Amino acid sequence: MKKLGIGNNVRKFRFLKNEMTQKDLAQAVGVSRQTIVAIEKGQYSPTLELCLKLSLVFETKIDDIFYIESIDGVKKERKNES
Amino acid sequence: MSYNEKKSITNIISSVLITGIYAIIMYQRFLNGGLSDSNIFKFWAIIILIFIPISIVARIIIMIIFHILESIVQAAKGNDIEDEMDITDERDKLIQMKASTISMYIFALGFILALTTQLFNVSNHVFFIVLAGSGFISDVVSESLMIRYYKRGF
Repeated sequence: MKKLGIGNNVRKFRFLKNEMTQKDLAQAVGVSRQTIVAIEKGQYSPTLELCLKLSLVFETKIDDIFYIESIDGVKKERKNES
Repeated sequence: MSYNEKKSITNIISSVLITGIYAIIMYQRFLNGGLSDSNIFKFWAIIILIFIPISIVARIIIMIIFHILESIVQAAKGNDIEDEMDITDERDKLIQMKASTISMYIFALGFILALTTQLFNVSNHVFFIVLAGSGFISDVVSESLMIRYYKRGF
């Protein structure tokens, strides 16, 4: 099975959302601040439910927030966002 | 260091302290001077049944002291600890589940080891000592794994 490296733009969307703090985001989606820290560092991949909550808070699609960074350790090129 | 890591460290320290002190007391009271092979099951039933409530009460007291100290330290730093204390989220549950699964394997291994000792010409006390030891080790390993998982994110 191929191993996926998952990247995210949580930090970017947090700043776009009126420079929301990690604590505010954690409260908005119902997790601890440490979990937001782990997600931003790419150490933890959240469940689909948490991804949906994040997309609701950021008012965007899940694949704008999370993306495939690498497949089996090989970096994947990303399409430029408009 | 996060609140959960500190909680796990406190759990390890309390586990070592409670089990260690209780083991020393029980050794001095009952086992010093040789093990009697009569009424082994009753003897170990008493030791374990006394240990369970003592352990629960001691852990509660230690956790209360930990929360008070942590609240004082965080208040002095100007942080709000209540948020982290209240929330047990999906990551916490996954970490607990992963740690308790490995801890269960260790205890099961200890149980098999305890049974294996009975194949050899050793006292039945060894069975219970190995069983109690594996229970203690699985508890410490579980908390240590939780610290490791919290440090690396998951």
